[in-house]
This record gives sequence, structure tokens and C-alpha cells, in this order.
Amino acid sequence: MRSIPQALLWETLSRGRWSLPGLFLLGNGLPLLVYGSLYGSGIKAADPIYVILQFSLLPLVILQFAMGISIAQGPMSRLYTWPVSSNTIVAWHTLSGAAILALETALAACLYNWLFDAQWPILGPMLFAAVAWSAFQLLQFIPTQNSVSVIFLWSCPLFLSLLWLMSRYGSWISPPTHYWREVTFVDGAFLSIAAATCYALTKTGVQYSRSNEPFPRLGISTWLIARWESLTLGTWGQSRFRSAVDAQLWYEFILKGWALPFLTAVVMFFPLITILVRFFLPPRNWDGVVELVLAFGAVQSALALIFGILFSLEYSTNRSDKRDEGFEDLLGTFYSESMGSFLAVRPIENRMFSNIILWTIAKSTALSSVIWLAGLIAVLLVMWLKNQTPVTLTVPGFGAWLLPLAILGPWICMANAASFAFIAAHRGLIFLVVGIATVSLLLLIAIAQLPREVFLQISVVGLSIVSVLVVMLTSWVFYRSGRANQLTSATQVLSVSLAIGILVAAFLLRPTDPPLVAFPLTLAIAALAILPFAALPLAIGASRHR
Amino acid sequence: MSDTFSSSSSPIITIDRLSRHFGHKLALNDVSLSIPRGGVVGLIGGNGAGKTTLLRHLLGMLKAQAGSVKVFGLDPVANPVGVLGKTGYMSEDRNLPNWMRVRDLIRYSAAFYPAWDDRYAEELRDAFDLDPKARVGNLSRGQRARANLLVALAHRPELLVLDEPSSGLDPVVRRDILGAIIRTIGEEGRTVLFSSHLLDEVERVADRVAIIHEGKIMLAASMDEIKESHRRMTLRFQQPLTQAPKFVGSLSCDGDGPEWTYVCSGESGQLREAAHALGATVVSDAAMSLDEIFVTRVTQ
Repeated sequence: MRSIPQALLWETLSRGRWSLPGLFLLGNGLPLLVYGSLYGSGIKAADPIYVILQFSLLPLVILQFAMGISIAQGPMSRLYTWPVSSNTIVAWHTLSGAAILALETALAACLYNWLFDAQWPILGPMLFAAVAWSAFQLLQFIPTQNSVSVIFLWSCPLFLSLLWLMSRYGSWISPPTHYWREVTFVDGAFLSIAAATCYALTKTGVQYSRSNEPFPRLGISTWLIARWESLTLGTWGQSRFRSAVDAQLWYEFILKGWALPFLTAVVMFFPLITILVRFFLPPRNWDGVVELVLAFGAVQSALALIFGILFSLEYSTNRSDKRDEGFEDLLGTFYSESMGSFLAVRPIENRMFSNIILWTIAKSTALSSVIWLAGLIAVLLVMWLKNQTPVTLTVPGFGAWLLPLAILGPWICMANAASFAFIAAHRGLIFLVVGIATVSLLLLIAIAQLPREVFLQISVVGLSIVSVLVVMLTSWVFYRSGRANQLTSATQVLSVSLAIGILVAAFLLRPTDPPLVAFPLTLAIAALAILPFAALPLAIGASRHR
Repeated sequence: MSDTFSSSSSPIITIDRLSRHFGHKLALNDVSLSIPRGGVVGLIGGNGAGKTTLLRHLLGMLKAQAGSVKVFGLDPVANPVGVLGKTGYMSEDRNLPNWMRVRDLIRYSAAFYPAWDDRYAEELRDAFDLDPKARVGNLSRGQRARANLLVALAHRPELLVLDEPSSGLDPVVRRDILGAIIRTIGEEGRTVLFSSHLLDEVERVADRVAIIHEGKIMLAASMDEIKESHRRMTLRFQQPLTQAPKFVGSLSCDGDGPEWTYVCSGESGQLREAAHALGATVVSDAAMSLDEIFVTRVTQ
């Protein structure tokens, strides 16, 4: 090989002989199955549902392709001691990665067009993918550099990409205009600025990292951290903690508990701004805003499932001598087979540890729900002030269960995900993610392929069996936990009270004619709500004393 | 020499027939060891010998698959508060939360130990030159080790467990660590258990040594006993020999013709008598360094 680009390309292709095709297939798997099931049920590619799906799935697909390329390229730090300039390192990583990602995106679009008689554009997504690669590459510097500063740095080009994406698809609630059909001069300018900014920041990052100097700090980040610490520390202040429980509560919330409420606040910010703007504009259809806010109530549970896993992740590894990481290393940083020694040697009982985590989860989900409810109330209030038709928060056949479920859902998901993640480590987590994805896909296919009546019957039988299994599992875990002396009498009283409370609330708020499956499902939901009280101390014990 | 250190004081650690598998690999094989209260115990062994696995059992991070472990007479898995509340630990990987500032780390750690001594913590922070505002993730390797040592020491633990405390550190930090060990045992009844590859360091501070090899305790005795009971002895026989004759307590031997050098386990006087019984004269009889004893024992 006679040149650096040739050598780097050869290295990328040989190291990525599995990751490049593997993640290309994986990335396309979900869209192909979803589009396939829709296509099989007679829905044409011109249907808006296809467009919305393409809009939602495309960033995920591109992200998976980018992960494959990142694994193939390896961390840039491997070239730091070679006689190549920082400019060359970043330029060839960026150019080759952007080219491969753009090519993969174009290939995927061509594949969909050919399989489903669609005519989706190719050039727009290709250009977007190329710019997204620059942002993704910059993103890999986050954990090893001055994190908050870098978040600010990369959020700038990412915001530009997002802006461009929205310009193609309209704002939050206005209908889309033209789906990538044309790439205007303004679009091109936005993309160019985003790519150039990402490139410049990555190059600066490499230069500092190469000479082992800390990344330049923005004064804003120091100020923000100080404000954040003063807010989150609250009564804890800077003085001594009153007890070990107090200290561990601080640890869990400051590290993990804030994530869900913060994300909810960020997400709710957009509809609230939209509402404020709309308030002064001529009347328009408000249904979109309400649907968005209500939909986020359900999405909160899915997010809580992901954030629940955070509670088991390892944050304490010694990474002081590492400078930047490839994607693989990044994953390895957080996943650990057992609890790290720093936490494992805290002189604290497993059941107390569990109570602390559960209290943090309760606080996190309650804060998140309060923020969401505040957003919902704000929307309803504005609608009332504007004399809009009031929106009903009850769904036919579902009674008034929607709101309580939206509030209980995040607790169930987060607390159970935390218990599962403690036991399972990374292999189990992969099984969980793959399992959820598989069940979702099977459901999608079943909805599309089976006659409605048959699908409903299968659903009723399936859900009833699953509900009974959940109740049996909960009873068994409580028995095991009691035998292991992990349940205090206070926890037992709390568990029983919560279960009874849920059942009573479900009965009082029931729809007029509830379906038969609602009864075992209600029992299962009550069981899932109390399961973590018994499961988490056992899970912590399994992770702490391997 | 047994796997129990001779002492009049009650044992602080009792390990009885402990075994541990990781998949197919046998990491600890029927290990029994009793460590008396007070003094410094050095645990030495090669890479993968089982040192860290043994120490992790003492702290309850690993559950005994066979056998039992008792620290302060308690099972560390069943009673973490009772054991860990009186134990200071410095891990091999210096596992500390990178996101905390040094002052937060001290404040946070203090909450777990009723015996935490604020003044001592401040003294140590000062002596170790740790900036309270610095983030743990930004500390150098040596500073990180010092921070770890600070939180392990400031509650004046009855048992201090150090896993490869000097590994990868410069002489200044190593001096700090050795100083901390000496300071700790200066307080009556406290025990230090540390694992190390650096045998000169063990030789300098440990008064008892346990050698672990391939998951088994090969030797456990006081430093003086070990040194007295290992001799390098060169014998001259009356006529040249093609093969070394069997010699009591011999661990290894080398030589040719009439002169053979033995590394033996036994007391000097007894070994000399045995040499005379063989018809040989003792040319030299020397004590051995811990390093030599260790190499001989593990390559036996």
C-alpha cells in the first residue's frame, strides 16, 4: 500500500468484514419487516403511514450503520503515534466513514424502492447520512473529554442536522410538505455548515487528545454544573451527609435518577413553546398537540425501561489514562458482569441498597409524571381559553385507566428493568432488547396478516397466560426474598398496600363494559408494580456477591 | 510450615477449604488460611495465582462456592455491614467514581463509617496533595491511588486490605503507601493484608507471608520463619557424581562433578548434619531472599 488513505481503507474494510455487513443487515431488518407486513396487507408505499415510518426509522437505521463503521474504523487514538497530521487522521476518518454511510443509506433506499414499489428519494438521505457521520464521530469523544463542554460542542452541529430534518418534515404538528424530494440551496448550506463545524471540532479534539491536554473548557459548563449541583444537592448541601442512606440517595439520583425527568422536561418544552406561539396565532387544529403530549405519556414508560437499566451499569471504572474510544470500547466501559468494587464494598445491606434505588426510581418517575401532567394541564388550559373543543382523556373500552396507567407505567418499567439488569449483565440485556424487538415485530406481522377476530382471540388467550405467569413469578420471588431475609415488615406492608390500592383504583375507574382479559391483566399490573420490592434486593445480592 | 500463622492472638480472617471456579478454570483450590489479628501479611503470587480472587472473597464480592470465609468471625456475604464497616479496601483497578470531585468522594465515604476521622482525612488529603475540587476522573494514576488509599484509611479500619497497592506507581507514591501501612499497624491490634508482585516491598514491611500458586496456598509463615527455614547450601562430595544425591528438604539442586548446590527447606543445623551423614562437606550455607524463595517455590 503506497498511501495513507489506501492503508486506512484497507484497515477499515478488513476490520469491518463482519461489522459492516452485519450492522447493514441488522439496520435494515426492522424496516424491511415493518414495510413488508404493511405491503403484504395491501398498503401502498404512497400511503402516509409509510412516509411517517420512514421518517421515524431512518435515523435509527443510519445510527446502526454508523455503529458498524465505527467498529470497522477503530479509535482515532491508534494513529496518534504515527507520522500523520491530526488533519489527515480526521479527514480520512470523516471522508471514508461519510462515504460508506452515504453509500449504505443509498443502497437501503434503493432496496426499499425495489421491494415495495416505492419512489423514495435517495440524494437527500445520502447527504443527511454523510453529515450525521461527522456528528457521530464527534460524539465518540464525549466520555473521555471534558464531557459537558463537548456535549455543548456537538449539540451545535446536531441541532443543525435536526433543523434541516424538520425543514423537510415540517414542525412538530404541521403536516409534512416534501419528503426529501428536493435539496434546496438552504438545505445544502445548513448541511455544509454542520459538517464543517463537526470536522473542525473533531480536529481540535484530536489535537488536544494527541498531546494529552485537557479539552478547552467553556465557562458556561462550569457555571451550569455549579447551578445543577446546587439544585440537585438541595438540602444535602456541601456539608456531611446525615447517614449512609443519605449519601447513597445522593449518589443514585445525581448519577441516574435525574435522567428521565430531565428528558421529559426537554420533550415537553417543544409542545409548550408551540402552544405559546399558537396562542397568538389564528385558530388551528389543536388535536396534534394534545396527541403529542398524550403519546409522550406512553413513551415515558418505554424511556423508563431504558433508564432503569442505567441503575445496574458500571460508572466507576478506571479510565483516567484513556483518551478516546471506539464504539466497542465505549460499550465495554459501561457493561460489567458484576457490581464494581467501589459500590460492592459499601458497608450497607443489600435490602437497604435496594430501598435506596427504589426510592430514587420512585422520585425520578414521580418528577417525570408531574412534569408531563403539568404540560398536559397547560395544553388543556390553553385550549379552554381559546374555546377549543375539550379533549376527552378516556378511551373507549379503556375507561379512565389511561392517566393512572401513564403514571404507573414508568415505575413498573424502570424498577423491573433495574432488577433484571442487575442479574443479567450484558448478555441478558441483549436478550431483553432482542426479545422486546422480536415480540413487537411478531405483533406487527400478526396485526397485518391475521384476520382481526383471530388476532383478538389469540391476544386474549396469550395475555391471560402471561398475566397468570407474572402473578406466579411475583409470588415465587416474594417467597425467595422472604426466605433470604430481604423483606422488612415495612416493605411487606408497602407492597400489600400498593397492590390493594392499584386493584381498588382499577375497579373504581373501570370502563362500563371491561373486556374479560382486563381482569388477569389488572392482577398482573399490580404484581409487576410490587415485584421490584422483592426482586431488587435479590438481584443486587446476585450482582454484588457473584 | 502450615497454612495457619502461629500466633497467640485470635484470628481476624479464617478461610476454610475455599474453592472457586470461573467456568472451567479453577481459581482457588481448597484454600485454608488463618490470619491472626495484628501485623502485616503479604500475599504473594504470580499473575493469575488467585490473589485477587482470594481478597474478593474476604470482602464478600465473591461468594464461596465451596468452603467458608469468616472475617471478624462473620460471613462477609451474609453480614456486609459488620465486615465492611471495619475494613478498608484499595482495589487493584482503583475503582472510584470518575464523576465525583475529591471533596465529594471524602464526604460521601465519610457517611458510611461511624468511625470516620475528619481530621485524619484532611491530614491525609494534605499529605497526598489532593486538590479537593479536582474530579476523580482527571487525577493521575498516582493521585488516584492516593485518593483510594485516603478513603480506605480515614475511618481507621481494623483490617486494611490492599490489592496490588504499588502496581504501576512511581517510587514516591509507593513510599506513601508503605508509610500508610506502617502508620496503620502502629495503631494497636490493626491488621494489614496486601497482595503484591514486588517482593522487596513485601520483605520490607510484612511480618508474615503467604505464597499462593495456581489457586493453592503453598506456604504461610512469619517472615523470620521463612528466611530461617530456606537455605542455599553448596556441598562437596568425595568423588564426582553424575546425579545429585537425594538430600533432605531439597527443593531444587544444580551442579555437576563433586560440587552440588541445593535450595532446601529446613534449619541450618539439621541440614548440616544431613550433609555430613551423606559424606559431604558444606562449602557454603547462605540465607535466601524472599524473591529467591518465591521463585524456587513456584517453579518447583
